[in-house]
Amino acid sequence: MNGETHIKPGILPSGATTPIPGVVIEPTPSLPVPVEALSLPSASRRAVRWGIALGASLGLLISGVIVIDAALWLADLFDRSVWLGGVGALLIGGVSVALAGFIGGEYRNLMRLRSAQSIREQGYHLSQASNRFEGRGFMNDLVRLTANSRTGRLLCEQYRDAIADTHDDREAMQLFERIVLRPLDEAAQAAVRRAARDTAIGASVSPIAGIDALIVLWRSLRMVREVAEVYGLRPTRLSVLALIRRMFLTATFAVTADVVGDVLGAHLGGRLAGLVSGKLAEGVFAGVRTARLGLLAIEQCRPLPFTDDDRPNLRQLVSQSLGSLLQSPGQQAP
Amino acid sequence: MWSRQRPARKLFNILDDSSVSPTGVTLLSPSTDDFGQKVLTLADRAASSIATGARLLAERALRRKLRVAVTGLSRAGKTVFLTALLHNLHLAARLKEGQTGHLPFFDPVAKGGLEDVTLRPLADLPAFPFLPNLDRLLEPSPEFPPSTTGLSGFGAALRYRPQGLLGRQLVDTTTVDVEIIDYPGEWLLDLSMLEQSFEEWSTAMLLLSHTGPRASLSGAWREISPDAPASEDALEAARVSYTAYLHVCRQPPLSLSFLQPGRFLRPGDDGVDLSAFRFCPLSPAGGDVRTGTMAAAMRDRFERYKREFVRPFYEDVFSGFDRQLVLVDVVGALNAGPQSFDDMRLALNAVLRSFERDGEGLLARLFRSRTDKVLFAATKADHVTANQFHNLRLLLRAMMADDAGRLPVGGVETEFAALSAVKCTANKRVLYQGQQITVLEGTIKNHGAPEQLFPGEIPEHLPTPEDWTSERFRFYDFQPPSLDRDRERGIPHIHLDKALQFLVGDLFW
Repeated sequence: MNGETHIKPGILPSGATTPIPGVVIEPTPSLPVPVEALSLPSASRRAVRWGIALGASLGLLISGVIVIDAALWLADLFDRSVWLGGVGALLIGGVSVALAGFIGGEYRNLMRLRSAQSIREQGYHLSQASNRFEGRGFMNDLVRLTANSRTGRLLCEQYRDAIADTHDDREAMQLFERIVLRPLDEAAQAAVRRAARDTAIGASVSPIAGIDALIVLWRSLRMVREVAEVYGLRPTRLSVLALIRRMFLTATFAVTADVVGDVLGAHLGGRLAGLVSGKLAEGVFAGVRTARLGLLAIEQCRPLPFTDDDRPNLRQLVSQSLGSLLQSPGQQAP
Repeated sequence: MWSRQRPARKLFNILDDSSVSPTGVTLLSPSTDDFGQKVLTLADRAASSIATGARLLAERALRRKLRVAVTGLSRAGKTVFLTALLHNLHLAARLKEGQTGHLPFFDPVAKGGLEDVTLRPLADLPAFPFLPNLDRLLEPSPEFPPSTTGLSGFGAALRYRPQGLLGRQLVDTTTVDVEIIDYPGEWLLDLSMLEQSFEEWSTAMLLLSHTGPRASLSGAWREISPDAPASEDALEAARVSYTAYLHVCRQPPLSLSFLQPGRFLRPGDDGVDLSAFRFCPLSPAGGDVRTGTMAAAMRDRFERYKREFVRPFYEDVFSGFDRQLVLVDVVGALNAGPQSFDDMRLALNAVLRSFERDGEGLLARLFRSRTDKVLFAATKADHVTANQFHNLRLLLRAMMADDAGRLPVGGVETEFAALSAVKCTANKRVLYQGQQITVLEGTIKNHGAPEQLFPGEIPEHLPTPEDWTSERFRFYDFQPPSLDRDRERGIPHIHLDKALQFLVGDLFW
């Protein structure tokens, strides 16, 4: 801005300027062309599968060799003396624990790199910056990330149409929220609602205590995966676990009011004990827990932080998904 | 569909419960299932018709009406604004799946609730020439529509699906009738005349006419003696001469804005009786004003003008506006030079008095105004690069505020904006003489081919004397872009949707 002051206002002679592509104002953020993009996933998926197959088989081979070697060595030691074998086993155990810790740490770093965290922070700063036009590059990244899914791509194309060169960074972010994120939020919340309902039903009908825990675990993992997919994160199994771990970390800091009692109270009032069996209550608790987990997953996967007025509400989510569950037995009971 | 069925079902459940409740069934018929079934069907029908009736009633009761006035001194771009606004609104409800219109910041469009927009002329006002204006903009070689001269309006009925929790429970769709009225901003200049006598007004106007660029203008009206005998012909000659003087003041090169009485320039409809306009500023008569002289006759006409034109406008028209948009050609004022700029500030201060609703404001003392939101907008924002919008807004605010930076608009929510009803230029980031700058690309009026230009910067405060001498302000007018390609999506603009959201957005719950 300061450098511009000594250029005299007026018509510039033709050919005197060189366009700077994509630096500041890029009215059409470069998106994968629809045709190209439609053919891309199958190709890339095949490549990814071979890569995974190669990596997995190599890893299996190496770890198999190491495990067999170590087992043979241990057996050898035990043959000589039980004490020697015990020491060897301790050593190997120590090494494997350290290895696991190391891999976990590495993986966390990897996840942190891949995470939407940095994008969220940058997004937050941009959403505060009115009258600035420096965020188009970032918006391009954001669009590229979100356009991974089919719905995401359609929405991003709408976004590309709606944004004009006269929108400043803040407006660009607001438009992204309105056009792209709002529908995605709804899809993610629908996934959470489904999962909450499934776990609630599963936990309340399962005959054995162990099984409902398994149901909850399996369904929650699937939910987190679905939520991540909605926001274009393409999660692998391991990254879902890492995501869940990070969600728990944030959960310890986040002040989330416990609404379980609230929701139950609102729906059933003082008749709770008389109306629902202990099993159903267990199921509802499991559903509420899943819903809360889902909200944490949404917060972690969403590329931009929520503003206060569009943050999803646990109570609403729970009553939407579990309300019918609570109502129907209550009405049929008498 | 979901929301339509739910209350009906609830209602049905209630009736259902009562008809199958043990006592009810025993009383009616203890044995025949057939009869019970009939009762059920009847109850079902009654419930659904009651539900439908309640829904219709709720829809009718919740229909809202809002008058939005768009005003501005001449050349501010009222006509183009109205045309673009109506057209974009009309198309917003007709977008195809996956298509994005030009109003993403207008909530009913953004949240996907807008079902239909019906445009129609208003019953009590002349119709705004929307379609002819639109045709001119959509032609292969488009032109800006000619400006309107009087009061006109157009209605837009926006039917939408409520997105809020409460609204969804009450109705499926509901309608907001937005009546958009266009009136000349010049009419607002006359408010202060209401508290002036003819002598006071004459003195003020004569003083003004002897200062600045006005002093250079001659006119037969300056020669009129207050003691001369009055005749209709002499009075008419005075009106014609004074009106001509005002017109010269308004035209370039003077481009002045504070021109009283504003109605002389924009009398309104063709059929207006101009006999009440037969007065002009008159130097005070020495001694008493005798009947039969020009001074006496003009004083009568002055009072009649106030009684027949100024008061009725505020009482019947202005008081009915719920929201107002005041368009100001800030860019044009900068182009026209310091004297024109200062004169526009005078005019804007006079305009602002019409929006004072609190306490000692003249308007508050004389009339009751319904206007609770006013948006002041600097038009022609496409004449500058996008990074100057912020300064454009600040400058507009500085122009309207008094010297201490205060805005005397108590009791009204105000906001400032930079907008352009038709976006004629594109912003491009280029390298020029070793510097990265943002330039405008567009076809300058009468130039024929698109060019790039560096429009310079808008000061964020009132320009200093050095700003005026350094040839800093030279903003070009542009040719409207050809809209053929974009016909289905509407007219590209700058911040039209945000203005709409501010003015009427709060009605869509």
